[in-house]
Amino acid sequence: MIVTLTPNPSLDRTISVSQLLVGEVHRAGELRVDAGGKGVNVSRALAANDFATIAVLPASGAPAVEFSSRLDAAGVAHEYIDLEGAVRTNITLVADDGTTTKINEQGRVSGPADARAMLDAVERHLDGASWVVGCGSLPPGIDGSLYLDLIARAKGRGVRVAIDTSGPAFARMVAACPDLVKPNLEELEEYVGKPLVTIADVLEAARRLVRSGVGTVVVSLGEHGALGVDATTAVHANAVVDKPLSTVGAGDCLLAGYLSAVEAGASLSDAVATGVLWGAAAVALPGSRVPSPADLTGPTVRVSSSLPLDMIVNT
Amino acid sequence: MTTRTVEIGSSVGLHARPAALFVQAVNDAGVPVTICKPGGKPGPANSMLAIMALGAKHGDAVELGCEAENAGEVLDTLVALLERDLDAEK
Repeated sequence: MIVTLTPNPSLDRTISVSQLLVGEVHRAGELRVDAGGKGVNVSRALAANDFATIAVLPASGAPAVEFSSRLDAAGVAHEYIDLEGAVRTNITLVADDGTTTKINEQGRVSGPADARAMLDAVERHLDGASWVVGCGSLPPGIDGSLYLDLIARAKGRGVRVAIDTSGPAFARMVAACPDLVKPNLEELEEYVGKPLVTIADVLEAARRLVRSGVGTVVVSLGEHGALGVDATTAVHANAVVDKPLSTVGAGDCLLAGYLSAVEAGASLSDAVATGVLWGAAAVALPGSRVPSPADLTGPTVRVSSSLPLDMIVNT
Repeated sequence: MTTRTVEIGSSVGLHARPAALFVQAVNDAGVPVTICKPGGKPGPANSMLAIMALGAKHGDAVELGCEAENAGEVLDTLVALLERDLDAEK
């Protein structure tokens, strides 16, 4: 069982417009509403492949009902923390020429009581859990200590912890030595405070995290695949996607695939390759759709026998 | 090399969750086991990636191979696992 916590969930509304003109009134075309948030995406990908998971998130009132209808349809078990106004509405405007404009709400103004309620809700599901995953941005008023506390509580119960977040929250939670972190290239660059150009650069930065006490670092590198690093091993895998449709949520699917393999006792190399497979399969699907078993036979994943240290990854 | 051929019993094929249970069982066995479709190139049976790339559907035959001393016993256990509808057992 993999438990996910999404502290700052959203209902993602994607609206088509013919052309976006600042200061003008637009007629909305096609509208799609998705249950969003990184932890929710991880749970959706796991559930689509029949792995046991539960999504824990704050939601209340009408947005909670709307969230439920979508999670039920996706077969995702979930538990809400009853906090009013916690579900954001994030708007993506897609113009006919493919240009996308995003407006993300900040989230409910929260405090320590909200954080405690979230951690208590997660803790109720830790019995028999293999992993707990803390994912995504934090609402205003809650700082990185939420993830520090999550790591402490999970470790206290013998449950492994994965964290996928960015900015100050990322830097803070590293101190609590999570079992896994999954930064993308930009998040890792922000952490080390300099641009990372090649696999060698990424490897050095990831090793710094491992030396700080993180168990395993999996860096998602977009079209360049992913690099997995732990205390003894480093592995790179990538896949070619013939017709990429949408990268939305691909990193979350990568994390889900990685965890599904680790849960089965896979090696770092096999788990990273499986993560890349899930991520690549997600890129071949529209919007934030997650791959099902049939989608996973498509992409061909290559695992490098020796690290391609000179490969440029910031393109 | 001891080999066994078995038809996949899981209704969704040898994919995600059934694949995970199988890989776990191979790892538990603690000896190298290979898997392929009949006539195919054997890959490591304890690799999630190799299993998913195999794309074995319900009813497809797969061939398991093992060179360990207790190969017969190990393969019989794995065959019994693959014959079951792992997806229906939660």
